Amino acid sequence: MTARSAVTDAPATTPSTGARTGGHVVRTAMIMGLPFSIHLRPAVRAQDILTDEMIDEAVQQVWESLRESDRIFSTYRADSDISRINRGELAVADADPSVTEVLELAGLASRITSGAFDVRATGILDPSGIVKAWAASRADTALRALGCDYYLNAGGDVLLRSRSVGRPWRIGIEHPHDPAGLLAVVQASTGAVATSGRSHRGGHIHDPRTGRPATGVTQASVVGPSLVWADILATAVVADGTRGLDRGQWPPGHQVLIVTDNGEVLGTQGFRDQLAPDLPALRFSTID
Amino acid sequence: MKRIALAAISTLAALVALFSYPTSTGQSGSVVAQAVSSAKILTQPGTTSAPTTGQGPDPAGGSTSTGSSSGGSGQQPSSGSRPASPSPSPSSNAAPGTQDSTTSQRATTGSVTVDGAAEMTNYGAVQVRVVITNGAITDVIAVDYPQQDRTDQEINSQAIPMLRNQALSAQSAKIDGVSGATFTTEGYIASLQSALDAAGFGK
Repeated sequence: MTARSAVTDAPATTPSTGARTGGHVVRTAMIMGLPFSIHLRPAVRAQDILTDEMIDEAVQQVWESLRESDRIFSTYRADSDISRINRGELAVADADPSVTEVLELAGLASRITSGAFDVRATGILDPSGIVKAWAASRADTALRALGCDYYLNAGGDVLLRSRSVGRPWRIGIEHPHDPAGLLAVVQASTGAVATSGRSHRGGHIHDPRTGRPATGVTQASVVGPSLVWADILATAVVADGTRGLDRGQWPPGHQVLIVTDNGEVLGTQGFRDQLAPDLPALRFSTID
Repeated sequence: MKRIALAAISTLAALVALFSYPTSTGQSGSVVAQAVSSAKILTQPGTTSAPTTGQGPDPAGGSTSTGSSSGGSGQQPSSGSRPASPSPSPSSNAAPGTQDSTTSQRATTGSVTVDGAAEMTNYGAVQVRVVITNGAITDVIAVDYPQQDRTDQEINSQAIPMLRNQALSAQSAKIDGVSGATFTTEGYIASLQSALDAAGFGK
């Protein structure tokens, strides 16, 4: 979830020329200690209009926007606004305006999830849990301007947009026990898919009310219209266990699929409706 | 425990699945290779990883290396203190390829059945059989898994079919991307998303 390496603003794993296979364009970069990838699917007619230069420029704008967010919010950078706030050197009101925006969002997230999502859980202000999705949502403006189908994978949280009729994006949900395998495949034209879990690192999500690693839910995926909310809700469900499935206050349109610690798979009917219909149906118990 | 069992099943499948992705771009090789070599750790008897890695970037090598590499990694039922039932595959749709024939066969076409090594877990032995047809996984069967007591049976009755579904879909799902919990730098190297990114696309 959170950035782990101190300074991982490494160059793109793929050379900046990128891959363009069958009209598809893929670019990747490591920012915030996380892999980001951009996937473009130019429509047939757009393919002639969209030059490599236009694509390059849009991609660079996305990376730059993400790096700007990292400069403001990284808890690993001593000179970030967040670090300075934590040292008492900077007031929130004097920080970059986006800090206030993110903190307001975090406050709302805490209320909606009954405190399961809390950016001050560790005693200091650490909005890392919200910044990745927030930054990705902000950075995709340049891609939208290209006018073609795209998705942005922000360290496993996916923001997608497709205008092509009958060509939704197909996003696999990582299997909690195997990073190379899939639990399910969802189809969506526009919106987001976010997954949180404790699969690879024991208990990295803590229940802020107990300070202990949450138990009960190994992995939670949320699909919905908003990447920020999908990410917050998935995180909260993992932190809260099955208690976090009280969806009364959730923003509308968000569906969830979880794997519990004892291997059960539970999900909403709305999530089932988003599964790719051409694949063997994932068996899971439906929750309200 | 069961986690290991699940990992063994799906990793064996993922190993093959990774190679069925088109690797048409030149720079894709390294990432795909890394993903596979980390998968190998879970699969355990990884003697054939070197030739496998070499074939990765070869655009035509996909199905060929799939057949041979999986055959290789599945050959040695060496691990596990419990003798891995060395039974020839009685699976109905499994073609003639029993263990003996698979050993010497470099299968590029037709159907091949490969039994993975039996992995000893705290709850008993786990062994997986993979059926590969024309270089693609067509079935994954748990031929041996813990079922001593009721708890195990409950777990397995859910987990085994579930895993079987996902193992099949990973190579045929035509996914554009993957949503995962911890795509940190090192996790990403081993992830399916890195293979998708490197290959250009899944379809």
